[in-house]
Amino acid sequence: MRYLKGFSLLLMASLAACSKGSNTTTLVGNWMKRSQYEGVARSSAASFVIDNKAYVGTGYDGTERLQDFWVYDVDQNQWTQITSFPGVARNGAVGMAMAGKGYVGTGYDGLNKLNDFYEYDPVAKTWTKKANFKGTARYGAVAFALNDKGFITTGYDGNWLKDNWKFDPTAPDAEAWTQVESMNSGKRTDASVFVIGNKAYVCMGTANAANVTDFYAFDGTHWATLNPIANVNDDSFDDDYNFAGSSAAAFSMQGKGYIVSGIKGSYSAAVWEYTPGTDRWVQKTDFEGAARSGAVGFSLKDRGFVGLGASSSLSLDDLWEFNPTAEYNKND
Amino acid sequence: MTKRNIIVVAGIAVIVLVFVIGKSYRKTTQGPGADMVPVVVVPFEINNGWGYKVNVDGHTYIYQDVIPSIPGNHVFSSKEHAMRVGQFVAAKLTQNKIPSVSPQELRDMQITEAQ
Repeated sequence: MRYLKGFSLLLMASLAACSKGSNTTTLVGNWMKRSQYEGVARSSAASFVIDNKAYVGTGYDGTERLQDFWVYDVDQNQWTQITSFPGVARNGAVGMAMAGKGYVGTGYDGLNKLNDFYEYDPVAKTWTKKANFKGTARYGAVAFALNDKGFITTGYDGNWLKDNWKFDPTAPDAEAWTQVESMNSGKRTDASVFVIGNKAYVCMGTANAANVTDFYAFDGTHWATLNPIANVNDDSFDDDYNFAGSSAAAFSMQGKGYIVSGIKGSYSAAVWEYTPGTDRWVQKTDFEGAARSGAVGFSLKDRGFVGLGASSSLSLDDLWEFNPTAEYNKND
Repeated sequence: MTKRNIIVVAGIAVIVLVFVIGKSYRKTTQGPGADMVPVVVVPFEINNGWGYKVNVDGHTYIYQDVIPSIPGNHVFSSKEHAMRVGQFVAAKLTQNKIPSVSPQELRDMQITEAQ
C-alpha cells in the first residue's frame, strides 16, 4: 500500500510535469471552499458590503421570494440573521453601500416589478424607507456606488433598459433621484458590474434573447466605451473572448475585475479577469463549484467571494473564496 | 500438524473472522451515520442578555448576538428564550429549510422581548 501511494504520487508528479510542459495555456487561480451557507440557499439575492462585512438578503429559493437578510463575517466565517427587509419579498433587487449604509430596492415580487427603495443602518440595525426609485419599476438592474453616490442602471421593465439614475443619500426625498447620462447603447438586463478606482464597469447581460457584448465604464458623469467582450477586433487579443452571457457574479479585488459563472447558452463555470489599465480580459481557472446563475459576488478585505445562486431548479447554499494568484489545485 | 498447531491456527482464524465480520458490520451500521453532521445549539451571554450559536459539524454557521428579524440591537432576555429560538432555527436547518426566523414566528414562540 505504501509503495502504491509512492508510485501514484510519482505518477501524478510526472503527469503534472508533462501537463505543465505541453500546455501553454495553463489557467491560474484556485477556488477554496470557504463556508457552507447551510440551508440559506437562494438565487438573485441583493447584497452590499459595509465595514468588511457582506450583507445578503431577499432572493428566490426556487419556490418563494424571500425577505430575510443575513450578514457574513469573513474573519469568523459565520452568518448572523439581521433585521428582515421591510419591503415585500422579492428577487432581482439591487444592493449597494455608500457612506456606511446599505441600500436595497427595485426587483420583482412574482407579480409586480418594483421601484421601492430602502436604507439599512448597520449600527442601529434598522431599515428606513427612502424615496422610491424614480426610473420605471424594474428587476435585473445593476447598482454601484461612486464617491458616496449611488447609481442604478439597466434592467427590465417590460423592455430592456439602459437609463441611469443617481441617488444622493444626503438629499431630501424629492431630490434624491436624478436621471444622469445613459449608456450609449447596449440596453440589457441581468448584467454585471464591478467598481475599480472610482469607475464602474458594466458588462454582460441579455436583451432580445441575445447576449450583449457592449462594455462600458462610468466615472460618475460619463460613460466610456471599452472593447466589446466578443471577437470583433482584427487584432488577436479578443480572439478568445467567448464569455458574453448573463446572471454572472462579479467582484473586484487587487485592482482587477472578475466575472464568474452565469449563463452562456447553458450554465458556465468560466472565470474572466479584467485589467482596466490595458482594457484586456484573460481567462482564469474555472469556478470549482457548480456552474450557476444569480449568484452573489463581493470582495471583503481585497478577497473575492462567490456563492449562492441556482443551477437549473436547484438553489445553492455554498460560498467560495477566489485566490487569483494560486496555482490550480484540484485536491483542496 | 500437531493438535496444538491446529488449535493455534483455528484460534487465529476465529480472531480474523471476528475482526472481518466486525469491521463489515461496523461499516453497514456506520454508513448512514457517517453522512450526518451534528447541528448543535449553544447559548451564550452577551450585552446583559443571551444569544445563540448554531454549530454544524463543529463549526459555528450562525452566530446570533441579536434577536433575528426584528429591528434594532435586542438580546434575548433569558437563556431559555435564546435556546427556544436556536432550537427552532436548528430544526429548520436539519429539515433543509431556510433557517430564518420571522417576527411572527418570534411572537408564536412567545419571545415577549421581541414585541
